[in-house]
Amino acid sequence: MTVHLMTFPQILIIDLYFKLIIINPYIKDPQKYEWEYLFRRYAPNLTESRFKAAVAEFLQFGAFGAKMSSMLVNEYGGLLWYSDPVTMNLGQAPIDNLFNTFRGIKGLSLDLRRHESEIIEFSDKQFNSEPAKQWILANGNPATICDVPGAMLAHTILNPKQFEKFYWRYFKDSFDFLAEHNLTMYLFVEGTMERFCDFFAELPKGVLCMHLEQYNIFDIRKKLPKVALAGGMTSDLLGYGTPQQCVDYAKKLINELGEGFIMSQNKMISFRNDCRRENLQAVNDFMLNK
Amino acid sequence: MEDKKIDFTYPEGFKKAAATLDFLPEEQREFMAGMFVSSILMF
Repeated sequence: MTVHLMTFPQILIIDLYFKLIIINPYIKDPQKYEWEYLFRRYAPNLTESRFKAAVAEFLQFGAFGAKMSSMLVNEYGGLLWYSDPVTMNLGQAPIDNLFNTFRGIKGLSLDLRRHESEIIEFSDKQFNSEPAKQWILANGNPATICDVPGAMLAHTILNPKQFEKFYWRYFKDSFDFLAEHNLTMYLFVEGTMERFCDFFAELPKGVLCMHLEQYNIFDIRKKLPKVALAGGMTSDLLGYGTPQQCVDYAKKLINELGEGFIMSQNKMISFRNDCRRENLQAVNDFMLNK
Repeated sequence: MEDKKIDFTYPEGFKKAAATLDFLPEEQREFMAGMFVSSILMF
């Protein structure tokens, strides 16, 4: 096996890249940074006509999503995850943007060891919860599962100490606000999260519903008795099991999780093989006592 | 008409690109251009 170690000059270059190219310009003017650096890197040869066509497609896509959401609510009595993007600011830690957009898994993994203070500076600049708080107090969210949506992704590469610095520092502010105003958050948790249970165990009952993508939901129920849980029905079973296997597992979920559980698939159903129609129909019929 | 490459200067180039969105009311063009860019970068 060959091990590649970075030389001191390489490390210095990465340091300078992060401080001068990423963090400082972003903190100074986020929209300028997005346009001049990130978007240029993303689409360097974009022309005005293609930009116009892309924005038109983007708006059509948004309109289609709104139409389907409206159908879900009005015709099927469903509930949405969120109704306005501004409310997302309460439920997403800024480090997720470094993970997803600016630095990626490899870059952020290096930054966590060498640029902790800059990540916090970036996060403090980006975390702006006031507009979301004002919006939710003024409008409410009657068509959504909970009042505020949230998601976690970058936690998959963090340890509990890092989680406290880069997530909980911001989530605490949001959960304090939600508890004070008797509001709730629906938090979609990608990957596994069992090593962070101690943080969420502090929350009062009735503030958080956590949608678990992976990990054993029965174990999390024991560790977090005051947190409502969603998920449980595995996409593996929905995609590759039989209708009877799916219904049997649905019975187990209901019987063992009971109060404080929202029956749902665990992972997002994104691809054709994630769910067979007859399996979903069988679970749905069982849930509706048909 | 020549299809110009996007000018990635800010704010001049951004405003020029936003101005091409003539299917939107004028007051919404820059907001929607910014929203589009942020969304594309996120996903």
